[in-house]
Amino acid sequence: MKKYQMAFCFILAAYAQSGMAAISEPIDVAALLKGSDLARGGGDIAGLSWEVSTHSTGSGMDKQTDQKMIVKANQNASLVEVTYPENVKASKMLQVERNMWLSKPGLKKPVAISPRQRFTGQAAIGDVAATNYAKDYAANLVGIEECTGKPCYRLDLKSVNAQSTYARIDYWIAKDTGLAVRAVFLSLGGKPLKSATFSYQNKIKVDGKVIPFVDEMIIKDALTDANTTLVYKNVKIQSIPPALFNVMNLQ
Amino acid sequence: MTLLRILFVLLTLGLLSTLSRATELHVPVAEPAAAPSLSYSLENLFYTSGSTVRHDGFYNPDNRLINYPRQWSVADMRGKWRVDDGQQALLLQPRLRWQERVFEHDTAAYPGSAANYDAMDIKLDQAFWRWSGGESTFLLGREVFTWGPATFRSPSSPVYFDAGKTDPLSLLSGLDMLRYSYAMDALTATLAYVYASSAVEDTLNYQNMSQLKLDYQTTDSLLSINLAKQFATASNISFVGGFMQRSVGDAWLVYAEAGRMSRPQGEMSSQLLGLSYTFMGGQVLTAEYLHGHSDWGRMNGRQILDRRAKAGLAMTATDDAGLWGRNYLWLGLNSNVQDSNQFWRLELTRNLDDHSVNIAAYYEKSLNRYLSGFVHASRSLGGSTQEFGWLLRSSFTLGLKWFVF
Repeated sequence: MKKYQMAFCFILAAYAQSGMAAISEPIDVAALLKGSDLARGGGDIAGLSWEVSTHSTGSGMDKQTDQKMIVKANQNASLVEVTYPENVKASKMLQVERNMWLSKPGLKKPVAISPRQRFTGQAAIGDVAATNYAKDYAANLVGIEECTGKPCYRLDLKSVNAQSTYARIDYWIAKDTGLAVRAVFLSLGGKPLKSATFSYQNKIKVDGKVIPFVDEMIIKDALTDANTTLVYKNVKIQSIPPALFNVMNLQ
Repeated sequence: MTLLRILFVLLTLGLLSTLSRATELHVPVAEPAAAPSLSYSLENLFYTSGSTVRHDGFYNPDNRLINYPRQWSVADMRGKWRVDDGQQALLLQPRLRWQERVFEHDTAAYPGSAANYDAMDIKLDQAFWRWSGGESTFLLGREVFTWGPATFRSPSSPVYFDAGKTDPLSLLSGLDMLRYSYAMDALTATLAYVYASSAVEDTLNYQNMSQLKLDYQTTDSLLSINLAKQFATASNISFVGGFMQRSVGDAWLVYAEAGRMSRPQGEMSSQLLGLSYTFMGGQVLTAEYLHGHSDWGRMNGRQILDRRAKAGLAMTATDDAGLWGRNYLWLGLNSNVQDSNQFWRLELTRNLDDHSVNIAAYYEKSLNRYLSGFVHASRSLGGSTQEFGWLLRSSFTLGLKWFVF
C-alpha cells in the first residue's frame, strides 16, 4: 500500500512540475472549440472563400514548388482550386462530406478518390480547407498549460465521425483570445503525425462583429524535418451556391 | 421500350411538378455577385510515337489492309479560358492539333492515304455559359457531360462509354446541349437536351437526345440513375443506366456502373464492378471487371473485323470496332495524383475470353513549373487472332508538355 502512496505522490509532483495548472473554473469545452473553429473557417459560417499559398522546406522538399490555391467552403463541402504553378494550374479537389473528386486539365472527367487522399499531398486537404472540429471531434479538457508564451487550454480531441482528417488531435487554445495556437495531429494509435502552429492577423466580419481569422499555419512533419507554411489571405464571407459543390459543375 | 418511354415521361413530369412547387415555396434570392475573375491556361503537347505492327496478322496481313502508321508526330495546343463571378461562368476550351503520320506503304486499300500524311484540325472541345443560383444550375453550350467512377469503360454513360481514361494523351469533346439541374438536399435532378453532337468523335449521332439524371448523395456514397431517349431521329437511341460509388473506411472506394442501350441496329448492355485502394502515400490500386455484349460496334469488334477480313477490306472509322470480348479485367496502379512533381501509372488489361493481355506504363516528370516530360509504352501479349495482339506488338511515345501560362 505504501508503494502505491509513493507512486501517487511521485505522479502528483511530476504533474506539478510539468507546468499544467489545475482547472478551478468550469469551462464550456464545446463552446471553446466552436469559437476557435470560427477563426479557422468552421462553425456557423454559411459560406467562405480564401486564398492559400504553400511553401515547403526541409529534406526532400526542395523540389516541391510553391503553390497557390483558392478555397471555397460551406458547412459540409469544400472546393480547392490550384492557381499556381502553371503545371498544376486548374486542378481541383471537391469534397462533399466523405465523397471526394479530383479534376485536372489532363483528365477526361473528375476522378472519384478515397477519403485517404485528404492526408496526402504537399498540404493535406484537411489542413487547407475549413476546420470544423466542434462537429468532427469530441473534446476533453486535459488542463491549462503554458503554450507559445501564454496560458492555454489543452484539449484532447477524438474523432467522432468519419469526415475528420485525423483520428486524434492535441489542441491548445489561448485562454485570453479563445484562438487555437498549436495542434499535434495523432494517428489512431496515438503516434504524432505532424504538428502545427497558427497566427491570426486576418479579420472577418461575422454577424456585424469583427473577429480574427487565421493568416498563417506552419505544419511540421513529426518524422522528418519537412515544414510547410500555409499563408491565408483575401478571406471573404460570401454566399456560395450549392451548385458549386456539384461534381457535374467541376469544369 | 414502351415501358421505358412511359417511365421517362413520368419522371420528367414528376421533376417538372417538383420544380414548379419548389419555385413557389422558395423564391430564389439573388446573391450579390463577386467581381468576375478570369482564369486561363495554355498547354502545348509535343510528342512522337512509334509502333511495331504485326505482319503475320490474320486481319491485317503484312499491314496491307489497315496500313497502320509506323510513326507519328503530334503538336497539340490546348487552351482554357474561364470567366467566373461565382454565379455565372463562361468557359472556352479550344484545341489546335497538327499531326504527321508516316505509313508503312505508299499505297493502301483505303482512299486518301499516302506514305506521309499531315493534317491540322482546330476544335472547340468545350464552350458554355453556366448560371448557378441557389439550388439551380442552367447551362447552354458545348459540355463534356460525363459521370461515373470507372476508368476502363463507363457503362452508365450513353455517349462516353469509352471516356478515354486509359489514354493519358487524349481529350474529350463535348455535346452541344441545354442542361438544367436542381438540387434538393441530397437529391439532384438534371434534365438535358442535346441539340448537336458533331464535336464528339463517335459513329453515333446524339442529336435530339433528351436526358434525365437523378443523383442521390449521402455522407459517403453517390447513386445515380441516367435515362436518355432520342426523338425524331433515325438512330432512335434509348438508354437506361446508372452507377453507385461508396467510400468504405478511409482507403477503399467500391463502385459499379451499368447501362443498356437500344437502337434499331440492336442492343448493347454492359456492367462494371470496380474497387480501389489508396495507400498511405496516396498511390492508388484499382481493379475493374467489365461484362457486356453488343449487337453492334462497342463490344462486338471481332465480328466486324471478321466480316471486313473476309471481304478483303480495311476497317474504316464507321466500323467502330470497339471491344472484342464480353469479359475484361483491368488493373491500374498509379502514383499520388496530388504530387505535382511526377505522375506514373501502370495498367494491365486482359480479355478474359481470348486471354490476350495488354500492359502499359505512363510516366510524367515535371522539369520546372513550365515544362514536363512524359513517356508512354505499351506491349500486347496475344496472338494474331486475339484482341491484344492482332494489330500491334508494342508502341512507344515520348513527349514534352509546355505549360505556357
